[in-house]
Amino acid sequence: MSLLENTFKTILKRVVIINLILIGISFFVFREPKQYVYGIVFGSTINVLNFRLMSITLAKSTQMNPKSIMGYVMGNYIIRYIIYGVVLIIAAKADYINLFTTILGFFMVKLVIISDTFIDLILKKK
Amino acid sequence: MIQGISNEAFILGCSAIGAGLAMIAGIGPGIGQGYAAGKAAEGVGRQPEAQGDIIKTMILGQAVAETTGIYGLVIAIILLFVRPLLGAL
Repeated sequence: MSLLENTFKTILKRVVIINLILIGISFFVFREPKQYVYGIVFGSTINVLNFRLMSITLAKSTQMNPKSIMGYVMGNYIIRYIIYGVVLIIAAKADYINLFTTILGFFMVKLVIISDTFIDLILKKK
Repeated sequence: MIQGISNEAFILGCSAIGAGLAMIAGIGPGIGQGYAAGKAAEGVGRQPEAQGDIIKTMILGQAVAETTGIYGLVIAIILLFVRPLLGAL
């Protein structure tokens, strides 16, 4: 199913599936996987929520006056950027959350979108 | 002039400068997103029946474009809080 058909639900579903796979792998690889699991869940949750925030902002911006769009979209981007920064600082400071799995969680939506494009290309070739 | 500075202080100072430079990467996606949203609004104005497709394609593109800003932020946070260069001493 292409992402464009039902964007948010499809992305959420795929992010959850990838998360479950990564959590399962971390249970086998690490002796104490708790902090790695928290990192993945924390990072990907914030990423999906920020993606939702972005989609609401952009859907609203297409109805606005073209002159005021730039300021509105940039302002919202800065708010999302600050959220990412706060989350990263928390992950870096807190011992019970792993920073690197949090960073991995931040790229979940991107991973889903790019992999969907590749899968579509491969399926079309077949 | 820098004789009184310890190695740790010098590395931490350079890391802070590096973090500041990395944060410049955060400006680009903001401008790009604003520009793309403006163009999408123009497209919707010209072709209102394609609004759904335009918005969905724009959202997917911007989600990927936003990641470059996060790269810079990640580098800055790692330089400031993880301090990997101190391990080289």
